[in-house]
Amino acid sequence: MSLIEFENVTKEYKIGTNTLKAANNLNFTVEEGEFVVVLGPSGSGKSTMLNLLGGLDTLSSGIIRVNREVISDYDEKQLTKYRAKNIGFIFQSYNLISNLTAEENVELISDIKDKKVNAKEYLDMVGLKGHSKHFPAELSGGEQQRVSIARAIAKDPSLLLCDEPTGALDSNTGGLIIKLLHDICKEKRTTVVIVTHNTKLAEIADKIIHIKNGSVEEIEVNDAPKDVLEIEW
Amino acid sequence: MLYRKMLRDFKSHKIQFLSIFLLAFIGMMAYAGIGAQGAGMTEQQDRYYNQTNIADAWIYGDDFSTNLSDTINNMEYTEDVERQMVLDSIVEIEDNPQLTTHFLEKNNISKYYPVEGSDFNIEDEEGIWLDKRFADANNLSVGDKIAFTHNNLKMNKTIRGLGYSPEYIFEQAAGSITPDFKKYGYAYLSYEAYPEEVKYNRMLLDVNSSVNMTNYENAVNRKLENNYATFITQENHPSVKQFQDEIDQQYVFRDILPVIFVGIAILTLVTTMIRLVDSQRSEIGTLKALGFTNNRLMIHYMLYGIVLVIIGSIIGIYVGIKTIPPLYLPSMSGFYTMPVWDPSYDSSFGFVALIMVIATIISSYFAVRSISKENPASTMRPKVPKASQSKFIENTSLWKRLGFNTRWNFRDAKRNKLRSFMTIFGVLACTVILLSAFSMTDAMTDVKDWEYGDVIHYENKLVLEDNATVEDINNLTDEVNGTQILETSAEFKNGDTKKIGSLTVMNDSDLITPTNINRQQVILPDGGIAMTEKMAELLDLEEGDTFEWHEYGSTNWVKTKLSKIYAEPINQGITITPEYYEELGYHFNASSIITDEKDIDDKDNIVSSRISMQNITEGWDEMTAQMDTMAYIFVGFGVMLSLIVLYNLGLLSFAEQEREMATLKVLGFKTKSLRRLLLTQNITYSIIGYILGIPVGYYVYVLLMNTIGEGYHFPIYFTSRALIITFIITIGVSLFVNLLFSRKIKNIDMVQTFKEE
Repeated sequence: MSLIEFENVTKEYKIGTNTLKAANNLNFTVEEGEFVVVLGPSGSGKSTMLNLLGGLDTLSSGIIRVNREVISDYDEKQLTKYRAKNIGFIFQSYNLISNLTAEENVELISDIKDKKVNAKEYLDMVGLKGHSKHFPAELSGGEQQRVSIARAIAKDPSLLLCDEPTGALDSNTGGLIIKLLHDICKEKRTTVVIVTHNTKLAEIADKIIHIKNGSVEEIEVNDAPKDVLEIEW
Repeated sequence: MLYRKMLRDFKSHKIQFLSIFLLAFIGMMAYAGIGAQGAGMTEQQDRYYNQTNIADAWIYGDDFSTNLSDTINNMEYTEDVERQMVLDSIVEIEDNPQLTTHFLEKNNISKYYPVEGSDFNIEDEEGIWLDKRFADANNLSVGDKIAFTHNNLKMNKTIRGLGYSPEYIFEQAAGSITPDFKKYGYAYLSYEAYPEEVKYNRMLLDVNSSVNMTNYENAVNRKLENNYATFITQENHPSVKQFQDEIDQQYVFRDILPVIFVGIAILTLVTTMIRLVDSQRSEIGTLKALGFTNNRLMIHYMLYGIVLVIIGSIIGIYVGIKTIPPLYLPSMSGFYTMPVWDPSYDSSFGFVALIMVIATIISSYFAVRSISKENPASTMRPKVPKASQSKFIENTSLWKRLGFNTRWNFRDAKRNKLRSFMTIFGVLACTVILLSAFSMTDAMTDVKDWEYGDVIHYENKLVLEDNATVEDINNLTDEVNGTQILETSAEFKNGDTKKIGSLTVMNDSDLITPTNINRQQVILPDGGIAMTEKMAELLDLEEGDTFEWHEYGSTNWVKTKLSKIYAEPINQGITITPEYYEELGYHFNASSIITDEKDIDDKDNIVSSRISMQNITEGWDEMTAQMDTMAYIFVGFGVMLSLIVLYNLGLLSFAEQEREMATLKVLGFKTKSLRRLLLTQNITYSIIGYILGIPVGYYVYVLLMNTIGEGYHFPIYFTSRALIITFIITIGVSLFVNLLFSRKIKNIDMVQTFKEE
């Protein structure tokens, strides 16, 4: 049994009188601990796929299973619980709470998880020692993304979903963020799904899913992924 | 952590949260301040009446024997009876002030309230207990000797104490509209202090509160077989009634204008909460993505308003009670006499504050719900603007001819209907408050002009002694070249409606020329009854109708036709000629002589007091001072409130348009033309609000004027002065707020503005 299974997943949006299929019969699986890269051009439906997987959006038809649970049948309350328990999100625009410091953004998780989160420890882990008292606006883009990662992993999620995590960053900083995500994946055996249009990431992935016009065009399994440090950014 | 976020959000949206706080604060301050005045008056009045055991009814007559007194005392429901002899006396000091002297049989009902000196002593033959305010005004103190005469009977007494009486919260000398403590006072003495045989002319009754007063009055009537002149219940006692009217007026003021304040506060609060939650849209999405439940978020955002509104309301109630009642004190205590004037709390304060909190909760609930209903994925994206639907105006040829400025503002208004509505509503409310406040003060001046300019032309009124002979009166009339009039009260009846009003008996004269409401002179009929418009309205009478009436203190009911209606601002009742009066079976006995001579000798021994026009108009000004206090309090609040509402909404509007403004700036628009964009919007909304405010203001003004009491008839219209001042203030506030934003426009940082989002 795979960790994630997408079976004929379709998502339709109604825009005026037209129906747009952002996801059209998506089928794929992801195994536990895999580092997966989802590639595709803008508007291909990558983000929709990720939102469906993370329980941020509901599908029109099909089945999504995560850890043998059919999350596509979940109601809102169950979805909220599912997100709180399993999912770590990382967004292109960081989505930090602007009025909370780096440390407090991470500590937010204690409010959801009912466990004391040692924010400093996670910030250290992402290389942000000494920045814990800063507000998001006082941090650079790369640093903000690290806070966002610290916040995501503080939950001990089984799934780390990243939507263009390096999209707003320069290539060097982006590389460091990807390395961080890759390390987390390998050290903590957290399954990581990254949506991007940066084809270079494919080289380090265990699995590459190509999406075009809302459907899976091709799934590659990389038997010998390169080390993060080997790639040219 | 969310708690900390809230505190930081307060800090970074200072102005908006401050304005929520201020709105709750000011709304409650106005409501509680004005309410505490009324509640305090009620509470202190009740306490005062209880402490002194004010009479439940009074019976006026000539000579109440012990037998009669016992008869009443033995009636079912009568708990206690005591008699008084009440005489008008003249004090032999400078100006010969009038003193109403009460010779008491006991002191258990309507008890004297001592403040200085000794308590009232029923066995003291030489002592007198004075009205403290009269004593203060005339520099009399405990231990002084005082001489006064009643009908040539001279008495010399020693002042034993100074204090108050519950029957004189409002004390008024005959023929004057305001109290003048130097010229008029009252005193309490023992029956033993009277040198001759005591003839009690008043009975004070303590009646069981369970009885129906009308039934009781009828029972008294049967027992006494018309051997009395008048039966007055507590609620109809002139002082009790006047003060109760004043309290009722306070309550109406509390219930109308502060409710407008609270209303605006609530609406602005709602707008601000909705906008605020909207602006946190993507944060809400993020928190949801993290796994926060909708309920948690709902509570989080509700707390924002709740915390501020609760703190604002509590401080508002406290500050309102501490600051507003003292503003009334000078005019109130100039008019009324109470031992204590403390304001009181009223449970309605908490209730109104609760309504505000609930409004906040509901508005936050709907604001958050509209966002949380969407799925988190779309919440994190910016809100999709609604496509504008009706393009009617855009399709007309007029649209093409409109400048960019107009088009921009038109679209903005269309897209932000709630904000536009709120701005207009805020200005409207401000207009209503200012207009009614200014019009109230205008009405007072207006009525003064009417009554003392168009109706009354005499310079002096000589109030005559009760025992003055017709011959003496006629001589004095010739001497001062005056006209005799009789001013007293009467009770009118039409069907089941009974009203008490004035009865004026006089011949056609140049000294009093009645008018209609438009101040055109009205000639009164020779052989008929002329009634004031207000009284006719209260009794539902028209010219030609018949009604019944009797002079107060007489049992001679007559049925007459109403032949003419005239208007009178401050004295509602009827006017009739002496001949007709006598025809109806009454005996004309002038109560005063009016004359247009300025310098006359008022030392004649049949004159009890002289009232000059100057005294009267001064008295009027004193009375209106109270109204003015109220009006200025309202103007102050109105301006404050509209400043907050306009600034707050302006800030919302600015925040929403900042990006667009920055874009325009990048395109090369000058700061000046951007300023004009906002200015056009503000001025347009202000003018619309002002225009809509006029009819609403009129309605509120009518409500307020109706509280002044049945005795008054004020013409109701807006003067151009009130309209212009209100316009200037309203637009002024709008321009001032715009000025505050001008600097903000200049300081728009184009780069920073685009970086956000």
